[in-house]
Parts: sequence; C-alpha cells; structure tokens
Amino acid sequence: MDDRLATQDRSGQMRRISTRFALMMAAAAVVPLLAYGAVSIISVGEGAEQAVIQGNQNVATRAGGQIERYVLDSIRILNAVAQDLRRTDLKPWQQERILLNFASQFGEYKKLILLDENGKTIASSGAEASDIQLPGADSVTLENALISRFTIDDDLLPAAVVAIQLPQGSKGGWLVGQLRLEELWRTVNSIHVGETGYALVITDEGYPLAHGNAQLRPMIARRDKQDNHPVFAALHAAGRDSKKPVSAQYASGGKDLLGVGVKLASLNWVLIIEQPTNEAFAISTRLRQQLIVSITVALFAMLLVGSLWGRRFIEPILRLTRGTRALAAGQLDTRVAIASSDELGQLGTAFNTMADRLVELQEDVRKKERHAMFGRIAIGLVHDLSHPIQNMGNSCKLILKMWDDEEYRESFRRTIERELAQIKRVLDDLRNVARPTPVERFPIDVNKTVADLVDSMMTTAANAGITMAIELAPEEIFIEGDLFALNRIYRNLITNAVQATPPRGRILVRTLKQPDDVVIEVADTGCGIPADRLDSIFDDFVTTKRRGLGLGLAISKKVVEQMGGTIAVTSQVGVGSTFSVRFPLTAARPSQIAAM
Amino acid sequence: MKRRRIAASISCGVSFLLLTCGDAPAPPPSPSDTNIVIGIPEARTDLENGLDQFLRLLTFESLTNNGADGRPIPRLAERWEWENDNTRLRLFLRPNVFLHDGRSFKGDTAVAVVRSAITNRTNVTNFPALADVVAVSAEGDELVFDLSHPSATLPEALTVPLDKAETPVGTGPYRVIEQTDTTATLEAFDRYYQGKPTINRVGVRIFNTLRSASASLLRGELDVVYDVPADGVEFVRNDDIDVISVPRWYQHVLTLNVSDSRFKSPLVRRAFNLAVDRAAIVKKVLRGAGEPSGGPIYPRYWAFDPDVPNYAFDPVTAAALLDSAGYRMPKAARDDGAPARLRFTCLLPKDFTVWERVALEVQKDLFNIGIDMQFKVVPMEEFGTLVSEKKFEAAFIDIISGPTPTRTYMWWRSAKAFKGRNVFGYENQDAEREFGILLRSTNDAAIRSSTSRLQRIFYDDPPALFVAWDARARAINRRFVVPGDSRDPMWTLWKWTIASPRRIALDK
Repeated sequence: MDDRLATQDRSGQMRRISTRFALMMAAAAVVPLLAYGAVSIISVGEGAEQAVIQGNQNVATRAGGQIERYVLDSIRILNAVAQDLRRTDLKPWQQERILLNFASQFGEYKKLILLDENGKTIASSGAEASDIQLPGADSVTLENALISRFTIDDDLLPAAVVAIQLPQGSKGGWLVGQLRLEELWRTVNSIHVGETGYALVITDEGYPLAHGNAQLRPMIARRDKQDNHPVFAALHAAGRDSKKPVSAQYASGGKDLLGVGVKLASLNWVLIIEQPTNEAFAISTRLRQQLIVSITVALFAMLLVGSLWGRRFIEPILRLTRGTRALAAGQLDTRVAIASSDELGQLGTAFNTMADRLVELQEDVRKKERHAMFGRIAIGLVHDLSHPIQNMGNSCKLILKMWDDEEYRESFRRTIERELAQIKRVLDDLRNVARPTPVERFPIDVNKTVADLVDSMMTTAANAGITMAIELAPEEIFIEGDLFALNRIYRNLITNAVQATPPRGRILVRTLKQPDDVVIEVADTGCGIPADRLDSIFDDFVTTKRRGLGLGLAISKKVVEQMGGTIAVTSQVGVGSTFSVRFPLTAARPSQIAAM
Repeated sequence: MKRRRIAASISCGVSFLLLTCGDAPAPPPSPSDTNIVIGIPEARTDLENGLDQFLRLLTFESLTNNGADGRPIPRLAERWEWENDNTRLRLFLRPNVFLHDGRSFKGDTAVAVVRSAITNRTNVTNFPALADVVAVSAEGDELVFDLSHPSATLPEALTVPLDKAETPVGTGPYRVIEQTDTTATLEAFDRYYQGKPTINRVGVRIFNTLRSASASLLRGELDVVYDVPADGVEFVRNDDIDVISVPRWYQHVLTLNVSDSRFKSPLVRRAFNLAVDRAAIVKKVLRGAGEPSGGPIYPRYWAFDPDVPNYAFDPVTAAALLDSAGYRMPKAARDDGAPARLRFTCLLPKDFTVWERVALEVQKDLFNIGIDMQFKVVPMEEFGTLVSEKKFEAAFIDIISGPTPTRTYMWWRSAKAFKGRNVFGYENQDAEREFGILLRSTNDAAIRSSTSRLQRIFYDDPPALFVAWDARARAINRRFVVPGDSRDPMWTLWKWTIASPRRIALDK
C-alpha cells in the first residue's frame, strides 16, 4: 500500500516536472511558431483568395473582350458587305448573290436584305422577301450600324436586327440583317473556370442572353430578370464608364459563389463568371489546412520531445528522490545509479557515500544499544538477584549459628522460600520474554477480578502513603482471559503506579464497559513519563526506573495481545499517567466463577 | 462506465436507423397518378407534323409494323404465313386485343376494320399491294387475305393504321377523350393488349413557336417537346432534359418536273446531284442530324446494296455533264440575272425554316455550276395544290422514302402504270421492271439483286435531286425513363416509367 502510493506520488511528481519542462520548451519554441503560423494562415489565405479573384477577373476580361470582338466582328463583316454593295455598278442579282454568299458563309446572319431608300426589298438572302423591320428608337449605334436590342429568338438564340445605311451616293437604302449569335452561346459554354465555374452574359436590362451552366439555362427561355444579381448590381453601381471588373461573394441556389464581372461597354452587356467558393478557394483552404496541420504537428512534436527530454533530464533527480525516501524508510541498502559525469552524477555519488556511512552509523548505534541493553539487563539482573541472593547468603550464615533455634530455622525456611520465589519470578520474566507462556482463556468477570486484585494491593498503596480508589462499571462485564495472567497485568500496572506516585498521591483503578469492549484503566498522579519515551515504554528492557530489567510492561503487552486486547498509555510529566487495557467482550459465561 | 457504453450503443443504433430511414427512396408514383404533357411546336418543319397525326400515333395501330431495316414485324398480327403459291396471306391475330369500345378485335369486327383501311384510296396509293387484295375474311383468330396475284409487299402494306372506318375506333394504348384545335387529352386504355399504359393521361398542346414550347418545357409545364430542330438541340439539352435523336424515313428532295424539257435529260439531273455538297448541308444546316442521300432508296433497308456508288460532290463533272447536255455557260450576263446555263423556279412552302435553309444551300451550289434557281414561296395549301396539279418547274419537298422500296415505288413508279404520287413525270422502263420484281418476289436473294439494280438505275437516271435524309429530335424530361427498344421513343410512350429520385441523381 505504501509502495503503491509512493509510486503514484512519484509518477505524479514526474508528470508535473516533465510537463513543466515540456511546456517550457513548447512556450520557448512553439509560441513564436504559432504566432508566425497564424499570420501565415491569414496572409497566405487572403493572398491566395485574392489571386483567385484576380485570375477570374482576368478570365472575365479576356472572355469579355472575345465576346465583344465576336459581336463587333459580326457587325464589321456586315459593314464589309455594305461596302461591297455600295458599288454602284452592281445589278440586283449580283447584290443578291453577294447577300446569299455572305449569309451562307456567315451563319450568324440568318437573313440579309437590301432595301432601297423607300424601304422596298431589292435583294434578299432568303427564299422570299422578308419583313425585317429596321431597328427602332431603342437601337444603339455600333461600328456605324444600328443595332436593335438583343432578344431571344424562336430558336432560343440571342438575336438582333442590324442595319447599315448605305450612302445616298450609292442609291441609298439599308442593308439589314438578322444577326443571331449562335456562337455566343458556344463561346459562353466554352468558358470554364476550374471544374464547375461558368460564365453568363446579361443585357443592360438584366435579361440573360447566354448561360454556361446548363442547369440554369432555362432562365434564358423564361426571361428571368437578373438585375438583382450582386455582380450585375455592383457593375451598375460602378457607373456606365467604369471598366474595372468587380467581384462579390454570395449565396445562390444553395451554393456559395464567387462572382466576378466585367462590362462589355460597347454592347452594354455584362459578363459574369461564377465559381463555387469551395472550388475557387480550394487552394487557399488547402494551404490553410496544411499550415494548421503542420503547426499542430510541430506543437505536439515539441511537446513530445520536451516531455521525453524532460523525463530524461529529471530522471536522475527522481532516482535520488526515490533513494532518499527508501533510506528514510529504513532501506539502508538503497543505492542510486546515476551514470553521468555532471553535477547530478556527483550528487548520486555523494548520496551513495552517505548511505554507506549511514549503514556504518546504524551498526554503531546498534552495537551501542546492544551494549546499553545488555548493561541494563545485567544491572537489572544484578539488582533483582543480588538482594535475594544476599538475603539468602546472610540467612545461611546465620543458620549455622542459630541451627538450634527452631524459630530461626522457620524464619530461615521462609526467607529462603521467599527469596527463591523472587529469583524464580525474575527468571520467569526472562523466560517469558524469550518464550511467552501460553495463556488459558476462560470467561472472567472483570469487575470481580479487578476488585479482588485492588483489594489485595490496598496495603501496599497505603504503606506508600498513596490513596487507591476503584470505580467499577455498573454492568457485569465478561471477557475471555487467563485469570493468572490478568492479575499479573493488573498487579504490574498498579505496582508501577505506586512506584511512580509520591506519597499523598492518588491511584484510580476503574473499569468501563463499551459496546464491544471493556477498558480497565489504572491512572496515577505520579511523575509521569516523558513523551519521547512513551513510544518505547512497552519495549523489552525499557524502564523509567533506576533499577530493574524493564520487562514488566513488555510482558504485560504481550500477554494482553495474546488475549486479543490492546494496552496503551497516556502520560504527562508532573501530572501522572494512565494505562488503559482494552479487551473484547464475550457473551460466554463461566460455568463456575474463577476465584483467586 | 458500462451504462455509458450501453447508452452510446443505443444512440448509435437509433441514429443509424433514422439515417437509413431518412435515405429510403420515395415510392414511385402509381400509374393512376402519372400524367404527361407533350408540346408540339407549330413552327412547321415537315408536312406530317400535326395534332391529328400525333393522336393517330397513340390511338390507332396496324396489323404489322415496319422494322428498322424495312422488314415487317408483328403488331396486331402475331405472325403470318403464305399459302396457295403466295396468293393467300394468313394472319394470326394476337389474342386479347380489344377496340376502345370494348369489342374484341377478331372475326367480323376485325375484317370490317381492316377492310375499311385497305380499301382506302390514300392507303392504296401509298401501298400498291393493297390493290391486289380481292378478299378479306376471318377464320376465328385468323385473317385471310386472298390476292389476285402474289404480292410480296402485302405484309408491309398492312402497316397502314386501321383508322379508316366510318367511325374509326382504335386499339392503341390511348384514346382521345377531349380535343380542340390546339389541345387534346388522351387517357390510357386499360385493356390494351400489351398491358395497361404506365402513364395514365396524355395532354397535347400546340405551340406557335419552338421557343414557346421550349420555354414551357424548361419551366416544367411540359414533359416533352415533340420536335426540336437541329439548331436548338444543344441548347435545350441539360441535366433535366434529354434530347433523343430519331432518324426518319424522309429525305429532303429537290423534285423536278421531268416533263419539262430542261429536266428530261438524265445528264441534267445527274449534274444536279453532283453539284451539291450534301455533307456540308448536313453539317451546316442539319447540324449533323441527318445523312447525305444517294438516291430514293433508304440506305438501311435490309436489301440495300452499299457497293452501288453514291453521288459525290463533284461540281466539275456536273458542269461537264451540263455542257454535254447542251447547257453551256453563256459568255455574257443578262441584266436581269446572273449568267446561267439553266434557270428555273422552285416552289417552296412558306414557314418551313429547315426546308428553306436546305434549299438555299442547294441554290448556292447549283449557282456555282451556272444553274440559277429562284424560289417561289407559297402557303402550304397552295404548294400542295400546285404540286399535285403539276404546275411547277421544281419543288422542294420532304419525301417519305423508306424504309422499303414501296415508298420509292409510290413516288417514282411510272404515272402511266400506277396512280401513285408520281406527279413529277419521271419514267424509266428499267426501273419499272425492277419495281415489278420487288413487288412480286418473295425471295430474299432476288429482292437484293433487284434492289441493287434499282439503285444503279436511279444513279444513272436520278428522278430528282436527293439531298439528305432527315432526323428529328424529341426533348424529354429526364424524370421519364424511356425504353431504348424503339426507333422513336414516342412509339413506346405507353410504357415510359417515372425515374426514381435516386436514379435522377445518379444520372446527373
């Protein structure tokens, strides 16, 4: 239990030190890394996004230019035809032939007609004269041509009427064509940004003309106005003459989109390129993720390295700590192995030297204690045995002289018996220390035995000028015990109390019944026992008296414990001592009361 | 700890069940719930489109049908057998075929219906073999056709729809329950012999223009646009709308009034055929939805001989032929027109956009070899009258020319021998002979060799300028699953099914 707690305590300390070490390293190395990483993540991400937006704007600008050129070229081609037709020497059939060839060659013009100054059809590229109307008031002029608003024709293609006025000198009139921008759709369809980006063209009124996303193309047929499209609105807000592309991020159709737009100024159209942001910003997102992962991995690596290095660094200290604790626990054979040549190694060597010295000192102390103990035992034996032996010797000397005195012979016999009994008691005590006498256990009436014993020692107390009182528990109390041994215990305790108490002192013997135990207390008002000797008062050959073997309390404790009890002492120097003996109660009752 | 594990397991299990339950596909709609709306753009592209023709397609059937290669395949007749030296054709009718009025299609009922169809003058004109039938009788579930003489093309001729009775009642999968000039509603015929149609109700609407029809389709108001011109295909098709190309048995033809002396010479007509860049026309005008035509015989007809040469684009040879025919290029131009070897006027029906564009390309190519073709654009009705009365020099027509030579026969057999549709004055005895063989022969080898010879005859003496075989496109909402076992998806409308939502997602 103590070892486990010690191990846990050690590992907890180890963690704290290693953790602090690792955190210290992390703080020193990773905090700057984190700061740099945060700045990098933000700036790289923003930079990458800006690059994407710029790239898309470039695509939009190029595509817009391409579309403008396509439309303007279509109109320029018509201008070229008009130039051809201005030749005054062309006959109608020649003019018609020109129109036919042109319409056949350039599929953008569904039909071409040549009108005279009165609006009558002179020639037509179609099978019959057509009723194409000249562009109206809402037309615009572009490349010397009048162009009507682009609408979606019956074939779902953006179409407009283009008219070029022929000068009066060439008989005047108009060259009118139905311009159909089939290629516009193909061009818009071919504009791809990434995997899912597409383009769309919106007229200045907000009507879509072409859409690169087939799913959204129905808006063209439905003529769904797009004037609230964020990019369209932004371009309009930028002003008619603004040529700068705009960008915006918005949600549409359940997706987050990046939209960039440019104006096709000559046509009053808007070209918008849309790309889902998760694709557009995939690179910057990936960069950010990579940075975050890298920094996180670096952080954990630093923590790991710091932890491992810290453990390695701290390990010698912990070994020393463990060694010190083991020494303190009495494991004097503990040595530490610290194989390093630095200060920690020196500390380890010093520790081992100290442990060796401790062993030597302990051995010395033990020798001295043994000497002291043997000395005490010798003195005790001398004291306890010399008196009886001396008395016996004196009596033996006198018996030779007084052999005829029968009274003296009786006195001699009593003296020899008495002193031999004393010697026997001493020898019994010694034997009990080495080999405790087995105790018998019978149900004993505690109150009676205590009362009888106190009664027998009243005289002894009185002779010492001490008042001895007895307080017995009102209930009957029975324990399992050896009557003889118990009496010896009580006698020993009372004798010690008498010896420790000065005249006019007081000794109280009492019994207390508790739920499961009985307590027999012997309290005196004697000199008390010093606190530093209380712990060893029950040890063998320990005594506070000047003489004696110091076995009384040791034997009492052994006997008490043999009977399943405990003995304890509380004492205060100058006030007195209280010895408490506790035995477990028994429900058994004696078949006949044991009597002294 | 143990309780936490149990709680976690239960939570996971419940979540799993909820997720799988959430993903379970919605049950497909039952047949009684399924309707379809079909839009037909009235921007005419050929003579045949129209509400009536479309309705006939769904309501009336024929005894036999045309296979893709021109061989007749069973329809109301399961099979047939020739008897009596090929002068009797016994047809075995399918069981459990009912007319919409509940009568069983067999016995005298079937005889009456068939007789009214096969004696119809238009049908006889279109299918000369019908004229050989002297009697039709019923023997239980069998119809017996007695012929005046063997007529190998009778099974093909029985592809005429049985809609000519005084009060025609069809056997088709649908019957009309409501009709106006521009709309019609049909409901499924429960007792249709091939099974009750999966689509319960069909609505048909006429639109003025393709744009309006396509816009309705894209708005979800229509499920089908019946006819999408080539220009619009790539712009209509998207993830929700499929466009299925349908090859047709029609071809664009510049017909010539061969009675006119200018067109009598085969050299002139061959020159015409050599002058035209058909591949460019198919690519530019038809957007690839078609194929160049080499003559009046359908190139996928089973007996067609691919080794017979087709007309190549060879304006030089064309000019040389015209020279040898006596039509040389004048040295000086006229004031009223370009110098030309030959001038004529071509009739063109009004508002047929694709015809006009093809015709304009032909005009350009002819002009390049010195032929000045001018157009006279007239309304359709007038066009038909002028052509039938032979009051034309040339006419641009979409002619049904397949899948069998019966169609060729109908247009180009001698008008003196047969009152078909040959209003063009074409006569060729060799062709007549081969037509006779084709009509009578029941031997495959003989038919093949006769067809091959006919091809060569027409190559040397082309009846007209054959430009290109046509194709059409149907735009269909992808929520319908269209079986792929038919030339035209409209023929299998009755067994279209509704795609499950999951299927649509996968297709996208």
